[in-house]
Amino acid sequence: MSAEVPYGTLDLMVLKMLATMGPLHGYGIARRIEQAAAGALALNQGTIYPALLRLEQKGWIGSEWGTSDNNRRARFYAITRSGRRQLATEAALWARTVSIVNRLLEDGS
Amino acid sequence: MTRIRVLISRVFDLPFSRRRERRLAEEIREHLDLLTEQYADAGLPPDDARAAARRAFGGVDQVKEAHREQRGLPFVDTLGQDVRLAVRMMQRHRGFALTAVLVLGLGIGVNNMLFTILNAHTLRGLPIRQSHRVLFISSLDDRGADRGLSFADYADIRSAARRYREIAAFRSGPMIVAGDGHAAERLDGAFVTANAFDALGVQPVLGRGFAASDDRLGAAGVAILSHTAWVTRYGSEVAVLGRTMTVDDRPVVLIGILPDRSGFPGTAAVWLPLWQEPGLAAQRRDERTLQVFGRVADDARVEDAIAEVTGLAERLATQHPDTNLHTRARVVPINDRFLGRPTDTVWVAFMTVGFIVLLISCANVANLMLDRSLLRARELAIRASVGGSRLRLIRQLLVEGTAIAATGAGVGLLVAIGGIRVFRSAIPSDALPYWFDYSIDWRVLTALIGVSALTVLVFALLPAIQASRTDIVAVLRDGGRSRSFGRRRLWPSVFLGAQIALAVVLLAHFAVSLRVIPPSLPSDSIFDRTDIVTAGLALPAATYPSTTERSAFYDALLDRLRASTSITAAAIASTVPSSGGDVRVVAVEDRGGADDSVGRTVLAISVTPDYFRVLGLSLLQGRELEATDGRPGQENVVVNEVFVRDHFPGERAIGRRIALAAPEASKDATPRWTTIVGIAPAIRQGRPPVPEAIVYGPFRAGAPANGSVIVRGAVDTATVVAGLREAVQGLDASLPIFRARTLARVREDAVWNGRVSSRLITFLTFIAVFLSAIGLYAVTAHGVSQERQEIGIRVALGAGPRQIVGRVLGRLMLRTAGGFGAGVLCTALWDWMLPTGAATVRSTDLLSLVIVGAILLGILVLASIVPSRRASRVDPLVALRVE
Repeated sequence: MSAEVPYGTLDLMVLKMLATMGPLHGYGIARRIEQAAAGALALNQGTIYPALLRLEQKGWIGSEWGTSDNNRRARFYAITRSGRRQLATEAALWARTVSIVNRLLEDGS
Repeated sequence: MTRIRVLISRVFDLPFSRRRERRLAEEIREHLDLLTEQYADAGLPPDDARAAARRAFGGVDQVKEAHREQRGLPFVDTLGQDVRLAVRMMQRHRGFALTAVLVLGLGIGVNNMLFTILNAHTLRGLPIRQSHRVLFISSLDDRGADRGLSFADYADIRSAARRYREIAAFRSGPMIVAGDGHAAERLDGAFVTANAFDALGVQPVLGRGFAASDDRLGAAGVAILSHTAWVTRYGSEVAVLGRTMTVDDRPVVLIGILPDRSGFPGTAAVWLPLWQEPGLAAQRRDERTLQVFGRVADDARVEDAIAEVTGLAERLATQHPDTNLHTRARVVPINDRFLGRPTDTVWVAFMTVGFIVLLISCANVANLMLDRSLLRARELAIRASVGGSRLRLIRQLLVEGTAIAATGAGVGLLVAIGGIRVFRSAIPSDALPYWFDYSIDWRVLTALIGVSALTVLVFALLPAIQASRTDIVAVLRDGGRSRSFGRRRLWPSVFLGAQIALAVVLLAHFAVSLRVIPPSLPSDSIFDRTDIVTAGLALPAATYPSTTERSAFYDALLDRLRASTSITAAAIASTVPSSGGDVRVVAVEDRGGADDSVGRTVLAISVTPDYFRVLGLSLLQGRELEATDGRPGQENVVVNEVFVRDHFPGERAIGRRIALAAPEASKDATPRWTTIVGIAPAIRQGRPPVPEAIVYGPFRAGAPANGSVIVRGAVDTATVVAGLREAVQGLDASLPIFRARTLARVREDAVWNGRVSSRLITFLTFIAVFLSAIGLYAVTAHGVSQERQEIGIRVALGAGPRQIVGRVLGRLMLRTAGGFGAGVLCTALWDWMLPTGAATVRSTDLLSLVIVGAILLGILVLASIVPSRRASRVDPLVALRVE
């Protein structure tokens, strides 16, 4: 059974994708996330569009029109410098949160 | 940080929402295409691939909605909806919207017009840099009278004060400018200390200001001209600097031109250094003729600067007890000295009137809104039933109110601009100093916006709350019929009563203004005559140093005037009718005791023989002054009938002796007795509505340097004036005549203040009454249309037109009577809070109330004619079928 996307982690995943893969369009981002999750995640692909807008409004990603692999017009998103900083902070925060939760769970068992 | 960034980005996105929407749609289409391809590649047939793509993507509409929510500002979005709704409502109900906007615009406009006047007279401040740091210094003598400073006191204070950057002094008076090839001209002028312009922060636009070296005993004569004088006299010629001219027959070099609308006092056009004032050095310490002001030093506080000068004046009182023992300093901000304060009673009353008119128009519109919300009850109920929250409904109605108020504000601005234009044109051009600026500034606009916003709360909030209380079930069941809303009939009556009460306050004061119209005098006809022409004369001391020279000039002038064919009679007077006179304390011979010591004041005017003949008046008793009067042994005077009534009631006045003395003169001085030889009719000389006591003395006795020629012309005014000028300049080419005009014009210019204010009262009362009439009409008409069915039933049961009209009128009378009573209370409250000095006529006495009641009754009948006729013609069948 595949899990729902944990609240607030979609933004982090999108940032990470853009940081490692370079500029991508919406479909590309959704597909890479699904591939990375290897079927463990139930993602409504449409939900990444509000997430992209949110990140853009915060200034962490930018977007421009470009041409996709099959020569079609597509909107490409790229991470900005402040986006990379944000990714670093959030990744560290995520790692810390996960380790705290893990430790708690281990102690309790 | 990020949060602000998001907000900014959302705000900037607002205008681009349509483009954003298109972009998102394109991205989604592309995404779905790619997903479909992906599934097709995996081997699904095209239709299944498309369905699978849609499943993987999720709900397209939900994504769009989420995107939209993320993008816009929800509050602004729904507000936008409300505004669009409001505009649509105004377009659909044009009659309602137009009435509301015009009524509100009138109220806001009148309010703003009055505020513009208040602003010009109190708030704007003098056009001086940092005017709140400039103080005006005067002295108070032992009687508490406000006097200037003597040169000695000024010099002592100036050299001792540490908390001022500059302390400057000036003395103003008329000056004759000539000797430059142009016609001699009399201008208002002032002798000023060299630092005066600096203290005010005024820089000449051309040339230079006075230097300290110009303001010394024996320095070469220099002068500065006003911008206006430069334009009118020299046609803005730049080369005029350095030219020599004469001011009061002394040569001076023109060194500078001041900027337009600057300088002081208000009407001055030429300035000379103070040391050029003749006899300055010889002035005694108790000759307090200088006006003094100072700019507080940048590092000092205003209060400390005031205290410093007050202290210095106390020191002078101990150092010079013979002259300064009882003299104290009075130091006030210069704005307070030359402008009113908004807290002065007159201005409070002024703005109260403005708000009364505004409130009347608000109450009016509130009633219109209530009507509207009754008619819209069904619409509002449906909106409420499909989930419109109560707050949302109130907001919708408030937005509608705001749309009306905003449009009303626009109309109001036009009303205010038009009103100010009319107001300005009613004031003679030279009556007010240049610093009264009635243009629209940020204060006026702020007041306009603030007041308009306030009106929304007054006229729209209560109707909105009322409407939001709509009982949905009842409305939908009854089909929006009026009977369900019986309890709401209270509010229209309250608003109507408030309008009438407020209108009564204005009407009561209008009634008083009708009643205090001064009784006319038989002599008032002289102010209607256009063949009496007067012109001012001022003989410069340099050429006419003593009575001998001046008398010789006046005699020669009168001879020439009598010889002129365009003039039938001529005289010279110190002041002409309606131009005031010198205030003197009068003593009556052989009358000691209390009456004498109190010393009543009279106006003293000196006139040449023929003065009354020129005016076309004959004496009531005795004779006019003759050429021989005023010579030693012939000290005779003429008094007017008011004087006789005041001082010799029931006695024979001719042959009695009286003495006049200046108010400031010592009481121990020997009286100069003069004998009464004639009694003149009362002529309006000053401002009071009742004529004052006047003593006419022979002009020859003092032959004052300033006088007015007054002639009876045989031809048109322009020719008479030309003849006058010719006669004067035939004797002395450098002597100008000034303010040449008919006596009718003199009167008109003198009473402009009363004329303008009474017109303003009439105008404001008219507006208030007009608005109340609209309110009365609207409420009555609405009431009749609401009661059509009831009236129909009554008619069907046999009620005649008279009963129906009586019923409509009776209800209206009841409401009006309530408003009238409240209005009388408000008027009494007003009179108690803002007492006006000489109130001989009260606004709440019986006669005033009868006048107000009569006017109100007239309006009531007018406003109810149409609705009552409509009510009396209700066809019972039609009315009942409406059910």
